[in-house]
Amino acid sequence: MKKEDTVKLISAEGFEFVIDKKAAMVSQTIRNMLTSPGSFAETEHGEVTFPEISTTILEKICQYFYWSLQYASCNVELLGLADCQHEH
Amino acid sequence: MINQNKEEIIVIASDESDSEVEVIGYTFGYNAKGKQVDSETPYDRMENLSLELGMVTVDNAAAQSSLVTGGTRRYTREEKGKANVVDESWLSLKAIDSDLLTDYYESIRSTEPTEDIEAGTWQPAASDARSDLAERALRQADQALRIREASTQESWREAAKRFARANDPNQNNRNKSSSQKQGSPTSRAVEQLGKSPGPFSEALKMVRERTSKRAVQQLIEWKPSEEKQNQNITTPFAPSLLDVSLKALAENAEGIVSLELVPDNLRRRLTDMLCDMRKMNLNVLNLLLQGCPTEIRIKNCSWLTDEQFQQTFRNCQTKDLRVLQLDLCGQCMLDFAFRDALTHSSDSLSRLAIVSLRGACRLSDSGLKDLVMSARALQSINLGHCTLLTCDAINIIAESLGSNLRELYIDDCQKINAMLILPAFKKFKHLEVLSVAGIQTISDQFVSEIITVCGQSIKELDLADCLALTDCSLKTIGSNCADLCALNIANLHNLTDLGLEYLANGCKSIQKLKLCRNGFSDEAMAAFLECSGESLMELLLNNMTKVGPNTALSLAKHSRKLLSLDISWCRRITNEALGLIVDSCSSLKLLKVFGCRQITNVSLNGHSNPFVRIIGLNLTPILDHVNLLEPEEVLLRYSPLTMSQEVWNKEIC
Repeated sequence: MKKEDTVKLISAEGFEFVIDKKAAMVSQTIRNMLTSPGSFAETEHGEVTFPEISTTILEKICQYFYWSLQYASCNVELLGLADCQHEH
Repeated sequence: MINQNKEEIIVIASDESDSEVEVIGYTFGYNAKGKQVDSETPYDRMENLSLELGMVTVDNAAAQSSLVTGGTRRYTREEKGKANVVDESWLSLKAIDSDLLTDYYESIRSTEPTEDIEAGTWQPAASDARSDLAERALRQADQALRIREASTQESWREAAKRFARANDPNQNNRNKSSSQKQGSPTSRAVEQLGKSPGPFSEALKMVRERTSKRAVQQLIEWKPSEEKQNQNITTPFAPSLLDVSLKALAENAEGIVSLELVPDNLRRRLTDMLCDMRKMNLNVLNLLLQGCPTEIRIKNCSWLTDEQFQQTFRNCQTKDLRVLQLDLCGQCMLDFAFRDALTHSSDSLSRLAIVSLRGACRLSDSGLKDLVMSARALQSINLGHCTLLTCDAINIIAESLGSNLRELYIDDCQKINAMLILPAFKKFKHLEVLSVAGIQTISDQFVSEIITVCGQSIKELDLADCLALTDCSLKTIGSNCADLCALNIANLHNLTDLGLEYLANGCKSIQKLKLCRNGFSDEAMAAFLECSGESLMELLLNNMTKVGPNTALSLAKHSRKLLSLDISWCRRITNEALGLIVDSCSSLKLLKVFGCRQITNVSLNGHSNPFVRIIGLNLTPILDHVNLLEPEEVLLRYSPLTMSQEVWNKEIC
């Protein structure tokens, strides 16, 4: 993975999770932090700190990001294009 | 064809090639030839029915002649003249049920023409004799049939009564006579429509002009989008992490140790999921009651028994309890439960503001009295389907709570007589939500009396199934309830377009409108939407047979805020109309089209609204959407929860 494609999420205890930017964008909060105009420190370094989220929970959250991406892409392939419009 | 293998059927084998010559057994007696007839097999019923009933024997001359001329053709038993003599079956009416008779009738009719056609293929000599016999047999069969028909029509009439819908003319006459007293017969209504000045009549004029120039169907110009294959428009939504976590919790509810820091809205969602999965039990209830809960919301307590209730609620700290929802609590004798468990100390329910006991079918007036006496701060009471309550209950509520009460639901409490509770309603000055659906004694007079008391504050009215209501009620509502936000007038078939006019002129900010089986016309509905359709968020047009393209056009033009639309069973809405609605109502999230066979994939797949969910046609799951539009944390529906003065004093001082 190239550095530009990744984001680092830091938990309360200081653990660092390096994940795909695309996965991180599943969260609206992180997406806003990373893409909004203005100078967030996060935009520059590509790091986001969550001082109130513990490590185990942050790990689960990262797993959820990847699962969500997989869910969305697999839906489109498996269920056909016409159905996905009123699938959910 | 012949069932040669079955032992039960006795085949009279005079001619093996003959397929129709089978004795069918009936469940009664012996036929005239002394052969026992066995119980019939359904397979043989249709073909053989013509043979047994009402045929007379003819002598064997005909039979022999048939043998002589050879058997290349299958012919029925009547042609062969081998029918039975009149036996008991002919005379005993109750033996034959109506199914058999209709089959018989059909087979008689069907055999006649074939005989005529095929008789011509026979050699003349034999056919003459045979056709005479056939004719005689037929004539007698007809006679028998006619006599049968008369007697079975009686039995059919009896059966039909069981299936008839309760739409008898007597009731309509009664309603008409009472409405004439109120002074609004329907013929006059039609003339008056659109005559009185107001936004509705202007809108109606515009709608009529619109249709006069071009046919309304042509006005709807909508083509399905060609980019059906474009994936970017519709991104399927993965469930949120919250949903996934709640689901995991619900599936493993046995392992939950504590719900201590879980906020109330999540507790509610978890409990709802558990109730839906039928996994709600005493352990979870104990978890919910731990500590000092502020809300207890259980939407299905049908599993809760008396002892369990006493056991758990006795030790529960209820001094902070604000919301108590124990729906469908039918097993508990709530009268005793309230007396013993919940009201053991004087201020145990002092902060209780919202209580819901829907479906508590064992709750009687005295139990309610205990509850209301100890919970003086109640602002919302939901007693739907509590069938034992009488007007005493309402009087008790009125006396203790009076003008504090904001929401009252007494739908389907059949013992409550509307006229007797009118004096109590004079005390409900700030009532915001009233549901009296299903109570048949509700009349126009009742509606006008309560509107004079609380017309300024009422925001939601549910009058579904109160069949005695007429346009007068809508007139009262329209002229007095300017702030009305939600109205349910389902199944009120006495309402006409004139009522809709009153409503349109008066209630401009209606957000939720539920119509079902009303007789409003397409133009009137369209005019209503033109005047008052801007603030609509939820519209139900279930089973409105006259609604069609005019309504669709007006919806598309005006209802930008519409979130949920139900046009089930509206057969006049075409594909183009539906496509136009879906594309123009940009906030639309939910569309129900049950029973609309005229809507095809042209519009279902060809629309370009990425967020809408269309339910009811293809095999999409139909219950996922049920909580889609419910707001998350709702206490009272239209105003903030106020603390009563005493509690305030206690807290502060």
